[in-house]
Amino acid sequence: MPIELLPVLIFFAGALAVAFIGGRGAAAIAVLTPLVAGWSAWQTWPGEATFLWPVMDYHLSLRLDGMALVFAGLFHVAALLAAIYALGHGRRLELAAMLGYCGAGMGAVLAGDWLTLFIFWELIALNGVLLVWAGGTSQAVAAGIRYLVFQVTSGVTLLGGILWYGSTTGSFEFGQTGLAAPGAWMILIACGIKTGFPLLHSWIVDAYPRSTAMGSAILVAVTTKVGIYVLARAFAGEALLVWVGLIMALWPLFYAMVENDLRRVLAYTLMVQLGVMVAAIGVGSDLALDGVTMHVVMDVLFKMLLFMVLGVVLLRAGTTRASELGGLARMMPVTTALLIVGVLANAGMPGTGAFESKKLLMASLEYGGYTGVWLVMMSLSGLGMLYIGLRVVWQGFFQEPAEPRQVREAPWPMLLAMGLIVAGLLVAGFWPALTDGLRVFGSTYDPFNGLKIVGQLQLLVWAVLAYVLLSRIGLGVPAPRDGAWLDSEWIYRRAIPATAGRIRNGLGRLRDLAWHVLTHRGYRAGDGRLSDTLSKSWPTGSMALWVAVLLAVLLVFGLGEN
Amino acid sequence: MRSLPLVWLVLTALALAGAGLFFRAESGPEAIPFVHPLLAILAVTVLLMAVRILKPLLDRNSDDHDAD
Repeated sequence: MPIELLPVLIFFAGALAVAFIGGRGAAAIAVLTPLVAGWSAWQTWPGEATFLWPVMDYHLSLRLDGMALVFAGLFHVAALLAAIYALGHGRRLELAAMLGYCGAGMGAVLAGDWLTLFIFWELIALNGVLLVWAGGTSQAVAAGIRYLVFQVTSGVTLLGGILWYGSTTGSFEFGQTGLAAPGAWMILIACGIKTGFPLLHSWIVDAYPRSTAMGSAILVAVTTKVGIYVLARAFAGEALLVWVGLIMALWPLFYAMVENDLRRVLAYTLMVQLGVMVAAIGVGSDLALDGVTMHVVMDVLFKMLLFMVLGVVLLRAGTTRASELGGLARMMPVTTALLIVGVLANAGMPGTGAFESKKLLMASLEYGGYTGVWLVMMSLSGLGMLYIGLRVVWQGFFQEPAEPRQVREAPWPMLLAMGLIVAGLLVAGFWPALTDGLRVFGSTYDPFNGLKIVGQLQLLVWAVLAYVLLSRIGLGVPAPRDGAWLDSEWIYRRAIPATAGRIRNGLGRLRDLAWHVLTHRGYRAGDGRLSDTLSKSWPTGSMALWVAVLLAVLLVFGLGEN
Repeated sequence: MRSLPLVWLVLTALALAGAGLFFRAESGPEAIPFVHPLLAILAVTVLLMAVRILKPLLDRNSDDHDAD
């Protein structure tokens, strides 16, 4: 086993230690693990290199290059922030799962071959479901099972695609694959589930809001980002992804405006950012892939921040329903200030690190010849002020509450973790040269000019103004209320069970009908048991008739095949 | 007094729109005057209209509460 795998193993060792030790020792180990793993990575990772690891007749491989190192470093940071955030309230199950989850994510992005990727792909799913179950409610358990179904489906589909690809091409090297390769569509669908393609996304909004405060924050950091990573590695430049990304970015907007649970609102807005990144992967230029790499970092930071803020709200107020919140800004001024920075970063405000990353993504679409897509994606920045600014900041923190309540400011570990993220976003925004290391594909596009800065500010301010004026004439967003909105999850939560029930009832009726026909034609009933009836001797004429029917069916289907 | 923030918002928006006239691209969509304010207004209006149209269509009237 190559020594370069040591940081990943340290994460898994930390997870095991936390699971067995518990208590304050577990919290300390959870904080120390990413630090120790980071130190070992600093010592053992030589820069860009590939390492082979013989296992029986096969060679698993690790690949260290710019993109992999950025993602692996990001998962280190995310684990550290989550561990700090959970100090004082994190339970050992969720802490252990968090470390295992980040370790698996690191393994996946370091994989140099498809089989190594598959192993860590499944470990992400297993640790992820533990994070969902850590929520501890019956809804969390049910959502975790659904999460597992999606993730296992993704894993099995990936494995099928890998085996098809490997057996046809004779290579399991994980790299640019393209949709024309054998098995590529299966790999794409597996990535689609992981990334949350439209119709495959429901597990995100189902599972993420059900986890604990820390669990929701860390869940946004790994699974979907590994999906983005594999898409960027294997399918960069596939134009189909531009259109998938566009639908992905537009699909959640309605739900972000009407959902009552603000954690579900955030889960939907996560999809918007993922959609923009998927579209850029479809362009596939160096500029686009630099934008994707940088935006993954920024997106993890500001989405973790936003979920952390709502975790604080859940801890202090006991709910994240917009209809039950309001007035928190007076009681949680520091948290409110941190939240506002997160919202501005989400909208790509100049002065935050997300401005540069978003502009890289936008420029890649513009220069890639997708002007229409660029116009739509640009307008989404303005809408970001609306669907998070209005929903989370205004309805949660500033509007008059339905019922006045007293809540305290967030505990210091939570404030520290959120403060570190805010500091990172602002430092990256005001000193963009510090993020040059994230441009691993070597693009040189510079968005720091009057046109881009003023243009972005116009988008944000005019979107707010337009909303305020429209709401003054009664066209604003209706008051939040509990409800279930028809989304793709309706397919498996309602349509499939209902259809299965109808099929079961139909088969039952068919059985009763057959039973009725058999018993009323003089055959002996067999004391009410179908098995006895079937064991009776059958008239030759009846048998011949049924064989003829079966042959006719085969003939029809056989002709259909041709 | 209550409309004071709105006045500031309008003034800021107008100032930015004016500044935007000095920072225009030589070609492409960003060469169009006021393209960013127009995009923002259009996006917000379309989204709010979409919410009003889709809300009755996609409302499950909470019949999903026992789905878990």
